[in-house]
Amino acid sequence: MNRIDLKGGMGCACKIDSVKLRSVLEGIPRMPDKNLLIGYDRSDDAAVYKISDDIAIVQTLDFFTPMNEDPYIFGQIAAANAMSDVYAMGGEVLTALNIVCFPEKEKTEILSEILRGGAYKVKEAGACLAGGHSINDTSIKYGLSVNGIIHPGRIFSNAGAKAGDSLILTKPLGVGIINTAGRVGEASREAMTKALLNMTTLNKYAMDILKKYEVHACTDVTGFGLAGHGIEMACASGVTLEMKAADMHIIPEAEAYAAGFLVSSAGQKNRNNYACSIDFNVLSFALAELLFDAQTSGGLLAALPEDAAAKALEELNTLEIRSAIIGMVVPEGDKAIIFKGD
Amino acid sequence: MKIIDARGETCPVPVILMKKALKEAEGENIREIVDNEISRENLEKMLEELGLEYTSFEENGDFVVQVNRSASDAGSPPRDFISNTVLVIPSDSMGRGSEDLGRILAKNYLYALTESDDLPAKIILYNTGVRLASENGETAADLKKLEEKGVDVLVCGTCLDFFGLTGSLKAGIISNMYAIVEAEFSAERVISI
Repeated sequence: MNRIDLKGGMGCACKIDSVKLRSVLEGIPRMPDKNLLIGYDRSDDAAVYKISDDIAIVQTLDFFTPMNEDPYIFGQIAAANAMSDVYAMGGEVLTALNIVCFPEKEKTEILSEILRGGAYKVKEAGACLAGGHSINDTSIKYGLSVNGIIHPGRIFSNAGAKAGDSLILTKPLGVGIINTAGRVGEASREAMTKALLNMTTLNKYAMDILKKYEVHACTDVTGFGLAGHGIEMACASGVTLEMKAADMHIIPEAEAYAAGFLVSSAGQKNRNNYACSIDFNVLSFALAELLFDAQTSGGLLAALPEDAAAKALEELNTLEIRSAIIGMVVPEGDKAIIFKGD
Repeated sequence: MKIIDARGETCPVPVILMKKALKEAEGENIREIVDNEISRENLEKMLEELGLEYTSFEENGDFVVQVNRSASDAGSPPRDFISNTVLVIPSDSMGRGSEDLGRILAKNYLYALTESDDLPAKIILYNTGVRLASENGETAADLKKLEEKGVDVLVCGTCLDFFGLTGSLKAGIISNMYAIVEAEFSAERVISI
């Protein structure tokens, strides 16, 4: 097999530091438009533009450096991750375009495999791959520009979580730490298999189920970890998320690797940015690492009324990847997220 | 002192190198150099979790994390027995007048201190004072004894560099002005000889 040589930041772990990014974006002029329902003035997943009373278009793009040396798998993960933003808002993906950065010196077979993996996921999503753009670059990067549609009255934004809601997370945390461990040959085959399943699974399936219920807020948990994306939801909704250490939804091997200090740069960046907004004193060292762990193509974090959440969870757990209720929404306190002991 | 150069490496590699060194170089002090702040923070995070004493500082744009185990390991008396006094030694010669006499006095002072029940929490060496922990074998041995009793011996890194003595450090850990300022200002009593 043609393998990709992995170096530097991997997957969603290569995101630009969110605090730095925010200060850069402050200098960019706002372009208000009554039809732009969701733009970048909110930390939401995708842009939503209304074109009629029934239809709004959802636009997003995502691309990153390889986190898996198998190009076909990397293509699948990058595509699943790029389309996830549309699913996080409750939309349907219609078309996707490839975004490719590829060094001339690399074997073209690697690129073919990456694109084949991406196309496979776009097809699985029931969407069309409609073209793309490629440039020469010093390192491999791949992703998609994605177009979808959504009903303007049924957008799941990250604002709208209400006190009393239960919080569902549709994929366990820990792929960042497992990828980190894998990079230095310390991850078991089983752990890698679990992480790959996590990363390649489309959030479409979880959203198809969640849509049937009253969802107050939803986002996908990616590079900024449960910490960062949870804080975004809490702040956008004006609430606090209360979680229990025992209810953390994690891949068990990741906890063991974190306890063995297989820690990443991305996780530490998230810790620097978000620790001040979270009360996580009750968490062990390993669980705290998982809270800040950057998730590549992570699951959906949704806030639903308690009854609806219980029913949705039952249905979600018919899927291959287990979902879990990880906490509840409480009135806004000093911290955006608080962890309670058992 | 084991030295690890992890410049050019990204996490988890620098952390793994330190973890390995902690296991292999039993009881030895370890100094790791990294080229980015996130790696330094990850190293500090691990050392805190392991409850190990360390100092860290910036040096020529790189970051140095130094684990001080020979002082904190077996044989150290509980910290409560050591008064929160910092002893500052700015010269290898004690008092004014004859330099040669001053050197003898400095040697005698450190020897007397090893015999004393009242020990400072920290000894800070700077300017020619760093010679006492490097070139001068007799005083370095006494400083080593004091370290074994639980006294932190902080040696000014800039001064060692200045005298070309960085490689011949025999006691104490290389420190910087931030650590020195912090040690002096958090002390209840500072004695300068």
